[in-house]
Amino acid sequence: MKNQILHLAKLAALSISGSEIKKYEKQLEVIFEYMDQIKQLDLAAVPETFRTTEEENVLRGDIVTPSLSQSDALRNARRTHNGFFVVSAIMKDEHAA
Amino acid sequence: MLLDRSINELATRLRKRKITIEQLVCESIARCKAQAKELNCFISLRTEQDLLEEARKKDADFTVDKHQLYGLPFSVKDSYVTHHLPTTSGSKILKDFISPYAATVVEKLLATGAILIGKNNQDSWGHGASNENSDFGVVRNPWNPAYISGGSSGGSAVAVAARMVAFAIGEDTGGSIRNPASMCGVSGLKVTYGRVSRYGTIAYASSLDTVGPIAKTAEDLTQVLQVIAGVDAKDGSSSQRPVDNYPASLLKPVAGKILGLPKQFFGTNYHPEVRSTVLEAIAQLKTLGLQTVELDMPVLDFAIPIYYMLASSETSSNLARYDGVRYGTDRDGFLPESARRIMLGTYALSAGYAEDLYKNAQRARTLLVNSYQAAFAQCDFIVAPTTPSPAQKFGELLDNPIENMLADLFTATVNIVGVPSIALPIGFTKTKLPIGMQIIGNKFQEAAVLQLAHQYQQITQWHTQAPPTK
Repeated sequence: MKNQILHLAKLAALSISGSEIKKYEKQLEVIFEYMDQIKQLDLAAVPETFRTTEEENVLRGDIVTPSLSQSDALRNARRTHNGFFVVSAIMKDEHAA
Repeated sequence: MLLDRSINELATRLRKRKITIEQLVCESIARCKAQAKELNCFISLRTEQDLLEEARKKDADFTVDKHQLYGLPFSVKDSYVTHHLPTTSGSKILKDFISPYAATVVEKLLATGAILIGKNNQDSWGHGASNENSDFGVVRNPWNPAYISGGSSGGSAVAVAARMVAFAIGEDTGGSIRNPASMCGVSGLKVTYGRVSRYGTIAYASSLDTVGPIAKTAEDLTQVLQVIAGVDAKDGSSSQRPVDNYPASLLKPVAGKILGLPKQFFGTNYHPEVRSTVLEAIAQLKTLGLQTVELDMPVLDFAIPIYYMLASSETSSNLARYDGVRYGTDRDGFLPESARRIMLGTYALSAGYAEDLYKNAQRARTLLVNSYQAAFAQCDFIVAPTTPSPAQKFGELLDNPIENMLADLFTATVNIVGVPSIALPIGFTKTKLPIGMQIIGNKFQEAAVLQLAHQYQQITQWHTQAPPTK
């Protein structure tokens, strides 16, 4: 279970520390077991329901409409450069020094 | 107190010039000064000077043809983006976020001339049924500050109950409007999925999220719903169905209608005072000429696992956007309640498990939809308690994930199926904590549930009770 918690935290990009791992381990074990109740239902022939709305494929014309200005869109960004969002590198350059 | 009165009464008095908007706003400010800090129901409030300037300008511009809501003070849950005020969704991850645009529900209300007082505290990201999971502190129940307000729209329910605003906007994904409304003794409406635009709502679980009003009475709810309902080009899931005339439906006769009572909701596995009070309220509804029929809906027993599987999956995806790049801080700031839901959802959607967990929950959802459809072939309304217990003391639900989930036992299936439900006050415990009940209707039957709730409120006085004020 501990490895599973660490794996889930990694997938969800959550940083979880030592004492928290133990707590979540216990809690999620109880929750997963509780969720297993769904298996008691006979679902083999039942279709899935992903949404309850009656609307289908709501489209609009491909026309430019008023939108946020660039400065408004960037207003909450932590870091910007020349009108762009700056993000941390997600890949390492093996050839770099 | 002016804010004890209904929206209609306030609008009439404004028209007759018996009161001014400035008086109303001053009362709202005074009520906030007296109790907003103690009850902790607001995350942000506009300044007194700013509000008084708006009130005076609105008084000067007032004419009798202004909207019913013109000049009335209201608040919104902090999950709705607004210009000028911060929008945090109850999380420090967004503590500095000021939205460059406003939610449709906010725009529509501001267009009537209603006055936004501030933004209400909530369980962060809508995760919780007690309003203890907020980075801005717990929200206290105005009937007894040692108890929870309910959640996740706790601040909005408290602001209405404590007469700080004429009405508020909450958000309901699994019970988040109805639960705090009932725990605080006010009325709250969860609308049919798609009846009100979700544009500008910070998403919790996108196939379940709904935008709705909290107010003192069903009649007040109709006034607000009339403004906020309707299709919105900015929300592709908003319904294109025409909007009913809700206030005009309130007095239509209800005699002969049938109330369905699912036996799964009337067992003995919850608080006895809640159960007995709901049964009394049903007896009173029968005096209006309604009949009852017992329903057997076995799949209701699976409500919580189905709801948490779906809602957690959707929230793990929705909250992935908080990566600290476009807005907010990095991902260290999630509280344990949110971290648990994100991990559960990530698990349910992960490779190798999605078929067994997420997709099976969607199949079980179909069984719930079918079960409600079969029920509505036999009855006009389904009646249920709102919460399995009245407001608890602080700490009773924290760190007890199953108990915490069970708070949504009677409310969550309504979201899974997408039907409307009103929560209304029906009495008190011996210790004077409010108890609530739901009237659930078929899809787009908001007019019918409001009508029945209104007529119940014509023969009872629970909705007129206000908590002690300071």
